[in-house]
Amino acid sequence: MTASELIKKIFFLEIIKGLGLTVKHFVSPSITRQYPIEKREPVPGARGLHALVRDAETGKERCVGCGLCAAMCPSQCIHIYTSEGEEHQKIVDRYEVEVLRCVYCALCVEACPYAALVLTDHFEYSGYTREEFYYTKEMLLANWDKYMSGDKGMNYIKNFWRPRSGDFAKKVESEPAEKVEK
Amino acid sequence: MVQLTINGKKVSTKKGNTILEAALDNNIKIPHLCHDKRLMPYGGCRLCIVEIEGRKKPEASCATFATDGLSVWTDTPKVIKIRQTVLELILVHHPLDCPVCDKAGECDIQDLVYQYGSPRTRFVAEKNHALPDTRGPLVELTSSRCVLCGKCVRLCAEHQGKGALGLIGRGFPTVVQPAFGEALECDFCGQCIDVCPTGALMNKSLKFKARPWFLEEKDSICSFCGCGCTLTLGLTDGKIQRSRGMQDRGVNRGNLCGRGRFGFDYIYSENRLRSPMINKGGELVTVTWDEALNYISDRMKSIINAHGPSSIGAIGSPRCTNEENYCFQKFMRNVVGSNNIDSSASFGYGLVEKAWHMAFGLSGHRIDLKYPTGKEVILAIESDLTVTHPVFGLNILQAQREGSELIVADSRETKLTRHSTRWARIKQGTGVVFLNGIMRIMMDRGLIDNQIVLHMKDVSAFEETLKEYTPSKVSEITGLSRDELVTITETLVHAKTRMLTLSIGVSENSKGLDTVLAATNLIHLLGESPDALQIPAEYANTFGLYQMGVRPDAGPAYQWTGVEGKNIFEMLYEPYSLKALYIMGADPLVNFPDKSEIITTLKSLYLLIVQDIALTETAKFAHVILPASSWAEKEGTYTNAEGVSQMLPRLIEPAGQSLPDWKILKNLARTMGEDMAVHDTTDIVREIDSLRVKYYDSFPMTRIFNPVHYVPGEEPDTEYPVNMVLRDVLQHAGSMSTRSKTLNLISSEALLEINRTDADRFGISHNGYVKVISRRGTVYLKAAVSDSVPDGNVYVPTHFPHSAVSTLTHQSGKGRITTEAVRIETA
Repeated sequence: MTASELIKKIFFLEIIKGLGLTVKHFVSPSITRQYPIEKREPVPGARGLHALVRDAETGKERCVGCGLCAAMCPSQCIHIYTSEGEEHQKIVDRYEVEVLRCVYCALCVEACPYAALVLTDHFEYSGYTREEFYYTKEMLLANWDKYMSGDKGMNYIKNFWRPRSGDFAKKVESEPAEKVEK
Repeated sequence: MVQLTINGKKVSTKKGNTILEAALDNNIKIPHLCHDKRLMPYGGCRLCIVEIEGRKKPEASCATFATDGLSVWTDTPKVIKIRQTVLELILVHHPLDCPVCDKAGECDIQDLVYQYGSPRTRFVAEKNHALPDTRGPLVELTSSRCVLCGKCVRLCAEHQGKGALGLIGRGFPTVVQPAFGEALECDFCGQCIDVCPTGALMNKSLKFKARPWFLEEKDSICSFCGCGCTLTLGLTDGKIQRSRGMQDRGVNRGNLCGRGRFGFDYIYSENRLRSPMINKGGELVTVTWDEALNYISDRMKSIINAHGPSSIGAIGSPRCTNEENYCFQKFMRNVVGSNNIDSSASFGYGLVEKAWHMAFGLSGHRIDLKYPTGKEVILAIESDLTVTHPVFGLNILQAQREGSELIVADSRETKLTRHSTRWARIKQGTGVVFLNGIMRIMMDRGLIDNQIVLHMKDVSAFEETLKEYTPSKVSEITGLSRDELVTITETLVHAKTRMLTLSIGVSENSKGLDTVLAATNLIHLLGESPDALQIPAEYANTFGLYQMGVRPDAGPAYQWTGVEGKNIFEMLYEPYSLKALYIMGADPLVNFPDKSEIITTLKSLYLLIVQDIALTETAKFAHVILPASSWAEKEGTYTNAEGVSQMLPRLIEPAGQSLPDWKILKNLARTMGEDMAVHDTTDIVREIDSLRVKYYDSFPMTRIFNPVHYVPGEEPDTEYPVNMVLRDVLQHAGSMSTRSKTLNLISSEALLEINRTDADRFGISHNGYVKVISRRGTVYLKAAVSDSVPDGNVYVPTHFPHSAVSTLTHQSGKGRITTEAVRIETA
């Protein structure tokens, strides 16, 4: 045992050092969030609960029922049933997501050619039965109204996911003319 | 064979093939849109362009013949660039509405664009916004998606012989349309839907119901006519959504008729039986399987004890599988102990078998769907095979296009007569006279095949019977001129290869055993092999049913059973001859002639068991109704008219409590205290296999003349002045297809086809209702005034239960011609 070691032992230097650290953190600002009470603002583009985009003009879903999302879905949790409407248009009768089976990969959002489907930043949902998590078309549209109201929804569509899904439908209609002007 | 090099690989192909065909045969892919195997080269889409060494310009491989020593490159940068530009041009007007187009996922254009680059185009033009033409019942035409490959137009005209679609206009405004832009009115075979490379022609019954990538496709065999076509069925969520033909698949090589393509939905009809029912005091009451089977067992046992097993009869079904029909006859012969078992084949294929045995000593008459190909002369007698056996009919049309002489002897204008090279318009039901007349001319002029005929007995006796059929008499009866008869005879005799064909079945009454026998006599005189006579078995499993021994005179594999049981005529048309009748999958009240006579018989029974998939007319008279599973809900095999046995997979869940027929029979046997020794279909198959003999070659062939004299059907008189002829309609086969909602969109009631002269005579208007009265009954039908039927004759189909045409008809018991004399009044 050397002299310095002896001195450390006699004067409890190690303990004082340790206590010093404790005191330092005791007075420094806290980084722990008191989660249920204290909520964190989600990162933009976070992948949470699903929502179907409600078209501002028609007030109905934007979805045309092409089924690409369901085709892409790795956990096969999207079910779409379509039929022919009175004016021979395609009608989405049922659009259902088994939320508990979803892995939040957002491939469905990427696949959608009409930007009709988003993952909202709402991630807090729980329930007592599986049935509660079988989201129907009406519930998914309500999610849009609830979690993506105002500019938030459009910002999401414009700023996340490449290729930007919203562009597709627009491009197909107007593209040839634009292209030639260049 | 031609040797050429494609992409440095040496390949060989048949002479006369194009470069594209040579490449496809050797698994070298060249993109193409307008090419189809069944059609003539067109060279319209220019996507199959290839470079050929030594030639300056690239050429369309689908329109360039493969010649010896060619060196072809299919994927050079130049060719790829051309294809990209061609695709850009195709996409100039294409709306790219893939998300709402049902074709997306199996669209040729989509696949090519995916392969060759982007959907963007450098060319400016307005997208085509034409709205879909939704007027037609089954086919939807969206001209905005059309890329004008012309495949549908060419297939319809060249292959189907219909020509319902045309390319209208020139340049950019060209559209595919029916004549005068009216709604599509055609055979509704739907072949155009299969060949369309885009979503321009779509199956309306599938519209917006399922995306192609969710359809699970499985092959099955069609349950309607005897062709035995392979259907590729698309399923989602355990429901059959569509049926289509895949190129080169099955005996049909991808061809389908409207019944096969649209008619499968009869299995989803609302009057499917879902549970057993017993008639209690005039009311049908739903019961459990146990109760129903015990009820049958008790009643059957008491009938056997009191009246003996021969008082029980049974009628089998050409809609049931081989295994089920085998079990059915085993049940009757082993459990009940009766040989009284027969089927609708007694009106059709049974007669062919009889004639076949009488004339050649053979059994198991089968056809070859490809037989018409390359025959010099094809003679069709009083039949429209394009209606009764559409895919066989297509092969006949194909043969005619390839140069065969098609002679059709028929009273009615049909698709076959329209495509014939010679239409001998004989009077209805006079086929026997026509054939006898031909034979008489052959005899008189010494045009017979001496090598064969001289070795046959009774030639002189046979010649004696033909004496009365002098050309002038034949001309008088058939209405055919003497010269025409001579020309036909000469064409037939001088041809090197020939085919004689007709259809025969319970739904037609202008032909009979006599007609088939007369045809066999002609085969003898011509010195042809028996194969030259091609008479297809009428329904999906008529051939198999006969092989399985659902007939009174022989058991499975044509084994003689000792005592001959009662045939269908003795069972159904002789009231009180039976005490109990077990009907499996047949509807005698609709399909068989003389409804009132059958009703009397059915009412005389102590026990009538009807086992069917739907509540049929006959089932309404039943004491017990047992629900059976339909064709898609069980495993088994169908044997088509070619004698090819094909597997039916189980695709969907059985409706309600229904069971496969063989299971019902097994359970019933067990309830009656007998064991059929079958546990699953493999047991039955093993048992059938152990019995099966080589049916075709097992008998030595002989040749015997069977002289036939013309026995007309009911002759018209002053009271009943019009002849009524039964003919099938294209959209239906038997009565089961009338439960299909889609087929009913095209044809939902029996139309009385009548000539304009007659219509004026009786004061009948087109689409007006008429009262048809025969010696046996009266029905009300809708009239269709048509130029295709001759004076003094009306043509009616039997399929429709509610039209009750069988009220008017009669049967001869001998397989004779049974045309009816009727009176027609406006209603």
